[in-house]
Amino acid sequence: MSAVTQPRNTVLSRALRTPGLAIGVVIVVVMIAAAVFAPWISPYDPDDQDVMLVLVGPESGHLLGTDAFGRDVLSRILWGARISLTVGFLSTAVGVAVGTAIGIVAGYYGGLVDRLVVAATDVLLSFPQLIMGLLLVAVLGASLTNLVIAIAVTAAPAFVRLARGSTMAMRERDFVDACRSLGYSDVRIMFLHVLPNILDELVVMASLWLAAAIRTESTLAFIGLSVPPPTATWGGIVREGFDNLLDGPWLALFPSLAILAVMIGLNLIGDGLRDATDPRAPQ
Amino acid sequence: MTDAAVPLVVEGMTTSIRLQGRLHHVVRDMSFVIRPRETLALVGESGCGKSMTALSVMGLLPPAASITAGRVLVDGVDLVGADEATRESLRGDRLGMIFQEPMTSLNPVLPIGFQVGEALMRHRGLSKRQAREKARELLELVRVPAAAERLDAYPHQFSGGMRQRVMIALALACRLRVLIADEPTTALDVTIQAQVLALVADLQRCEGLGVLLITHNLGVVASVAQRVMVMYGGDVVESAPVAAFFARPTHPYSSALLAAMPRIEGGSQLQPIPGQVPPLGDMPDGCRFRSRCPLAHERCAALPPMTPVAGDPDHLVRCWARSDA
Amino acid sequence: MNATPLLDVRGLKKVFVTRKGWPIPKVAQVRALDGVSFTVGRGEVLGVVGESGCGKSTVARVALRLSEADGGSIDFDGADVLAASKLDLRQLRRRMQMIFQDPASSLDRRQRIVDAVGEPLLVHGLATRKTVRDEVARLIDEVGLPGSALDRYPHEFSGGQRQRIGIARALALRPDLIFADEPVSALDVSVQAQILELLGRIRRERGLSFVFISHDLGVVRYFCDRVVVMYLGRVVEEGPVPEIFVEPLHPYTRLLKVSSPEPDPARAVTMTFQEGEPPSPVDPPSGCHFHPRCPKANACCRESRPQLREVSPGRSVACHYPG
Repeated sequence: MSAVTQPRNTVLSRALRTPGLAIGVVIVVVMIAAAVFAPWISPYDPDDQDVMLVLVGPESGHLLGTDAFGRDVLSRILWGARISLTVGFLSTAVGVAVGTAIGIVAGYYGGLVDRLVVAATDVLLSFPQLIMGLLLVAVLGASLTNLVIAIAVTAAPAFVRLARGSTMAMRERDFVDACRSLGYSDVRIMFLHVLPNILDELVVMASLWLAAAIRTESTLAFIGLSVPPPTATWGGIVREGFDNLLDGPWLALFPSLAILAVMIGLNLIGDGLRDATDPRAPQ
Repeated sequence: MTDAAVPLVVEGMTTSIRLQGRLHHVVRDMSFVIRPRETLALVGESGCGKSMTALSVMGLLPPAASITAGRVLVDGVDLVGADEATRESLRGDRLGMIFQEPMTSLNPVLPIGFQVGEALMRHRGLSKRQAREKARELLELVRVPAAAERLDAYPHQFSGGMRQRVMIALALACRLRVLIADEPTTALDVTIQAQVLALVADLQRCEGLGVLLITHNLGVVASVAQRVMVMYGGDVVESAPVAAFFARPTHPYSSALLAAMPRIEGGSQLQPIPGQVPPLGDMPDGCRFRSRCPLAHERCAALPPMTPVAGDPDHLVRCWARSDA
Repeated sequence: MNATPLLDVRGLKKVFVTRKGWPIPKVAQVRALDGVSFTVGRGEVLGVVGESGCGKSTVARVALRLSEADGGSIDFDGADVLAASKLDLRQLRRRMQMIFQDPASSLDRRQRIVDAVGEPLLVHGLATRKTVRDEVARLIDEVGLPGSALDRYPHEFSGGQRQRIGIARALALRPDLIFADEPVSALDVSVQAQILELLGRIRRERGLSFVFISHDLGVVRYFCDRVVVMYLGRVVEEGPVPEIFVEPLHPYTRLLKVSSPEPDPARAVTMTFQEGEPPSPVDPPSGCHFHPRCPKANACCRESRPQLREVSPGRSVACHYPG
């Protein structure tokens, strides 16, 4: 009778039974922990140069080797995680919040507001994400704040679109009308009633976009448009490693593996959540 | 009973469904026959097993469910033990089914004429041109206006009543002997419902069709059926010719259903049935209606047999309190 | 009936415009309400009857301003509903409530019952955080649900119980008038009778007025005092129960009556064949909308629209040849 409606606890219990999701969570949690505890667990100061030990391969003392300035690669990756993950999480959070708010308003009111929002979204979505980020950073200048803004702007349109569509689907059901006839304000209906009901889909998509945001940050750092050196970021370390690819291949390899692991982790989480919240999935 | 003149015979059929590792009987010990030109109505509320009965007969049960006892004879051939090929051919050829929402049973991207024609080509081996011609005839038979022009129309261009007619035409594309109609008019307006029911009755007369009509609406039963079976919780609780049933509803559930139905002609009193149908896992032993029955008694813990009402072998009831009299 | 009605609807119009196609869209107009007038007295239950597409649900939506009217007037207890400001509208909505056909879709599936029914009380300041639970418990009890229902979610209830929750929520604001849009159509007969009985009891105890929208003549006959019959956006007949069903004056009302199946083999529904598809509301027939399906139609019916006129006290019909 009520098999279609999905209470929260079954979503949660289904989620926990999905092995991919669990693996993804472990990977991402380990990465976050590494970033948070970098000051305590990294064996060296990431900016300390040891001119006697330049481009040393992985060995005791320097687990992942040193770079062209004699800096410890493991320490730089751990510290770099702080910047890369912070930029990723912050920009996704801003993008999701702004995009969702605009999308719900557009879907709820419809009409002219909606048509303008849809047009603007279509224009923004027609730019490749990277070019968009590149243009914005180039215009705003490379700093942590601007980086977050630039990546958030690339993420927002997708959430506008998702939130708008889901809100319109909600309006098809009687319950928005029921709320209006009970005299609730529009703001209350949009953010206390519609939002919680479309949150599932937003969270799924946010986890996938988080991966994209971290990738964008790394790419921008790789072409030198992220936080300026010597501050370590993953993309930046790869870039430096690239210059010494023949003398020290580990330099580019290890940060790339870190990026890859986070991508895999976040995508596993996203797919797992999607399966867990999909009402059509077999019980 | 393997009389070829009786196109559909169901004997002692039990259908069970496995939910969370437990086996539940959703239809218990069901027996009936459908004769040519006869309409048997299967009545009951949601969850009583009437749709499961139809799906069992059609062999369209969901994977978790299966027929666990009894026989389903179509033209004398038992479908329960038969191999897939036999079942397939009988199902498509002799049994047809129409559903409540015709839109979901029609392919939205193919023209109507093509869909009806396809069935004709498959079941009657007609050529493409013959099939189109015959499809037009069938649409005219089910009274689709301007049938020739509408062969190339798509399902969404038809109204609900017209779609149901197309479904009937599709069912008729085979050499159908029994039509199973599961709430065929529930989604339709009353004036359209009357048209569709009239159409089915008319086809029965000319084509000799037997109909198993599944409905929750006793008014529809009174209008079109010759026999009626009332179901509750997977059991048939009363089986009778329509006139006898409405003159003398005998099972407490049957009379309660009739008393709960508001009527256009007078009667300002309604008698709701207290409580609700228990969930599958929570059905009482014995008579499943006893948790809501005003006549419930200790002996109802054992399932009563079907017994004749007042010596009438055609009017059977499954109730201890009502069979003693 | 008192001299001034509680709700007075006059010449209500609503046009839906659909645009399809690109770059030059094809515009279609559907006159969902084409000059609809009726009144609801204090404590009266008015039935609105008709088939899908006749505009009966639109009446409720427009009266509650869930959708804006394109003409006409609605007077609720002396207040002009269509001209009401946002602030006035909040007060009006408190006094006019709605019960929906499908409570599963009108309840927020993430809200527990105590929150769903309590929220309107809090929003309108009729209860405080402290008192709201008791208040909701009283309402839940009034609609016949156990107190244990308070902390459960909508999906844990059956259809009939969910409809009780919908009713409790509508009652929370102590309205004077309730629009009930097919409130029992999705329910099984035995449960339908339970809900009808509940609505009848609430009506008596609270002295409520209802606009009861339904396609089921039996249900309307049971619950309503007076009925308007709608066909393609217009009122075609109006009159008290049971007279309107005993002796319908409009041919459409008569068709509805003979088509409605009754549980009595002696009164099998009359099968009518003369008609094909019912006319589309996008392109309604000229003159009297019903003329293509009417056995009595003549040239006059095809050309001129019959006005709703009183033919005997309390009974009106829009037909050139009534009776």
